[in-house]
Amino acid sequence: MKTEVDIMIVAEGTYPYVSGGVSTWIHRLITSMKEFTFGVVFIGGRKRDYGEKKYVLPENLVHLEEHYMFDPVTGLVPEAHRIDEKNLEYVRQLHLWFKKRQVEGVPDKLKTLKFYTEEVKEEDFLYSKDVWRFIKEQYINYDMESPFVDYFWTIRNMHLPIWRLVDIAENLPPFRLIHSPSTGYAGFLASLVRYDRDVPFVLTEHGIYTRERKIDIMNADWLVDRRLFFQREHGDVEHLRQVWIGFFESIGRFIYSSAEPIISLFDGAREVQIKYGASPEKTRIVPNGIELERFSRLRRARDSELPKVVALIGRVVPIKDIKTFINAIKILADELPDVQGWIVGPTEEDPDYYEECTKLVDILNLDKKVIFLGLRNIEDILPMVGLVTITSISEGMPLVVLEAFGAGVPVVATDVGSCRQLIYGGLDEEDLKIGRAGELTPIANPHELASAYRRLLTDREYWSNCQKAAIKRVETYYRLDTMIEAYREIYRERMNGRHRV
Amino acid sequence: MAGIGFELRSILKDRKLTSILRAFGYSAMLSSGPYFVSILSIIFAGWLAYTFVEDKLLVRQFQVSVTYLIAFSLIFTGTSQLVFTRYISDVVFVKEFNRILPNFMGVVVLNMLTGFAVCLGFVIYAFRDVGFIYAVLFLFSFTTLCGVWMTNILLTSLKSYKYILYSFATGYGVFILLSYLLVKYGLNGLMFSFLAGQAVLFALLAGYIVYSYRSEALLEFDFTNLKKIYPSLVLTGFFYNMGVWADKFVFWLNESTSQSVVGPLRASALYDIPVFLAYLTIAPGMASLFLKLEGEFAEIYDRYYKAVREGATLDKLYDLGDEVVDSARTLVLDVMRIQAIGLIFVFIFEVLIFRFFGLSLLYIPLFNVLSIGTFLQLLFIAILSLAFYFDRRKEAFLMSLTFVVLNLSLSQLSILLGPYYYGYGFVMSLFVSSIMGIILLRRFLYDIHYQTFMLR
Repeated sequence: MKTEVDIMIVAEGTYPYVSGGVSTWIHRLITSMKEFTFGVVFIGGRKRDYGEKKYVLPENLVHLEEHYMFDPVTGLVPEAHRIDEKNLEYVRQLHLWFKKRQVEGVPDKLKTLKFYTEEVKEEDFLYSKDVWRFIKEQYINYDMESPFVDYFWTIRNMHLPIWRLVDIAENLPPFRLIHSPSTGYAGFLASLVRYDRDVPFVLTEHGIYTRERKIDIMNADWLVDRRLFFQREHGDVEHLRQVWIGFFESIGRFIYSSAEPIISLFDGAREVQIKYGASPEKTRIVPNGIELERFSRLRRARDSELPKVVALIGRVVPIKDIKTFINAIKILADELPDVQGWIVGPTEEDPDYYEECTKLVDILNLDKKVIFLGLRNIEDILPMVGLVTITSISEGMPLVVLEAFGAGVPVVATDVGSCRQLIYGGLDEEDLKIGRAGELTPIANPHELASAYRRLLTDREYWSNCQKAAIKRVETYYRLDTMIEAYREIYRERMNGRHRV
Repeated sequence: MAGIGFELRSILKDRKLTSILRAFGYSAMLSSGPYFVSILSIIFAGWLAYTFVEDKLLVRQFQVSVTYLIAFSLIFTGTSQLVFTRYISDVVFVKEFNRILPNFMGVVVLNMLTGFAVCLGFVIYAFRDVGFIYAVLFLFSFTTLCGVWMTNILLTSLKSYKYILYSFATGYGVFILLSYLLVKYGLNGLMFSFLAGQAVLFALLAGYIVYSYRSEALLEFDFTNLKKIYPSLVLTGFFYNMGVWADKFVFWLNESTSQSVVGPLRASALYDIPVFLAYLTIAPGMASLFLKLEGEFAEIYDRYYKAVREGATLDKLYDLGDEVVDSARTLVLDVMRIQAIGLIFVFIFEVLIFRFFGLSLLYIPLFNVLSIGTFLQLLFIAILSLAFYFDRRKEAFLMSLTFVVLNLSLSQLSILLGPYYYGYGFVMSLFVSSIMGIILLRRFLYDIHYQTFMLR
């Protein structure tokens, strides 16, 4: 077996430990390109948050390493350290960089690994009195009113990963190209490596990481605003949240500046990337694709009778807005008593949210109508349902939609991510002509969802038209082989030394 | 979707929890508490026995036996006292109360079994010529004392002071009563009364723990889990207790300053009486240290760390931090002041007191030196307690190491230099190690916020 790595993939919180869209995408990429060898660097939060590997590792995956950003490091002794004035100035610059949301003016030194391994080491940052003074200074200048302990840990947690990432970057085996399927920590690692080793760095974004983090942070209840009502202006976001958002935006910009190409899955995403700082000429769109044969044969397995079943296929987490789905089924059930809502996907990721959902089902008296099926093989589910739905408040390009199309199932989705493009068409004029493959609704609107479900489940002709459009669209634009071919092309081109602009 | 950012929430929570300081402050001080109770009761029992026993040597033999028993058992259990109290305070902090009983059983069983084994070797070797019954009584007394100290220290860290007091009173009451009845059987009679008294005391203390802390498990050795304990505390506890007895041992083991009393057990008539009396003089200082530490200081200390945890602003933290530093300083100064006043009274009235108790006035010069020594030991204990409060294990370790090394070497030196220098070894060792402690503690307090946030 060849052990040299051609393509190193950095998987942040995904492959092979978490099942989901991005992980499956990575898995397909690797299994479909036998001519390359792959390596995967898994970056997680804490080891205990992940279980077993969810995928059988392909033969041509010759290297797998895992790192956890927030597990305490062993071997560092909390002892007083000192750093000199010059390096402290660099720490200031680093902080400014993370905060200021722009890459211009960041000293090149901060982009080198050496700075973090030799000049300002992790223990210097953690334990030196100078850094302590610096954090205090920042707090006094910007955020005198928030809890100091929160501020302190925010600053620490924000900067610490860079030393972890540098450490990972230093020890990676040789490879020819690095590919990160997200910005964030994974993309940051890839950027550091790209500067350090001068290897090409390909970035694919399935969602918009920066924006997702922004949603997380705005919703985070651990950042408590302790100001009294009359102490804050309306719409005023407290400093700590701003600091976090600024951080993710800044590293996003840095990653965009070092990656080429910057790939997105659909045009809407590309526009957001440009808004967040990606230069337009580096962006590209490579849509997801599915193995058509796996799904097209499912069409034959369908009953002639249209099952009155709406399936939501996805993890039970807040971003999927499962509650709105439950509410929509409630509304629909009043008119179509034999309707059922299936929720197909793992429930253990956010147990609190799952519990809230099951309670809601109880309260609404839906226990025979809304069923949590857990993780299932999608090929078993698709022939048994009349509709597939997505109620998420944010999405990238959900594979489920493509898979449903492939199996001849129309989709009702919220108007997020690429859903409009997938359901109404929009890649080009031809695509628009194919017509609707389902319906779009606004987010968090159970009434609209319910009426869309009703229309499709009761109007057989309309349903059949949507099915035809769905099949046509997926067969024309979203085949796995097309996607693989595009990446094969990108890899070849980059690896042949044409990555320097 | 890719990303681990959302996990920051739980990380922030985790980090905050582990960054909280867990105080187990006064255990150092309190571990010397029983030491005082015991000395008092030995002196009292001896004084009592004197009134109705003809054979003065018998009383002396008994007193020396008990002194050795106490010294050996305190040093022996000193290795686990601090580790165990620290373990318990952590357990209490995470509210795993059902861990208390089985681990208490564990620590007691461990100490008593190993104590028994070690002491068995010792009595076989040492008391061949003294007599079988004496040896057996010595062995069992030692084992029981090990249990008593461990139980006592657990109850003190759980703050059951009143109950401890009653138990000690009952135990020593039984001992005094029995010694009156059994003194006709000589040394063995007295030794048996002591053992019986200690057994009652142990039963009372241990019974209280069993009664108060229910648990499913009966025996656990979680306190030996290296992931959960601080091994440096083993040495600190050992060195501290060793240090307390070092000068006494030096005087007991030197030919020129000691006499053989029971088998190989030697005592130093000229050193023992003044040193024990000197310990009695620090009662007022001890009392005020205890009150200050438990009351005012603990409150101010809690307020600071609570503010850290619950997210006060930096402004507020600085105010509270200043109060902590102030309070630590006031604590030390006040204790010293009160003890100084007490000491002045002792110096003024010492002749009268010595005459009243029929003690030779020849003891007075050494008594004066040693009173300064115990005064400094009070200071040392105060600083050590503060060090434990702030979880400064390294500092506590250095202090106790310095103490034991200097007390051993300087006491030996004082003997070589001659009678005028007796006691100065004890004084100087405490002086140096206390000053060192003050410097180390000051360095920490000066940076208290930095230490709290950055170096945990």
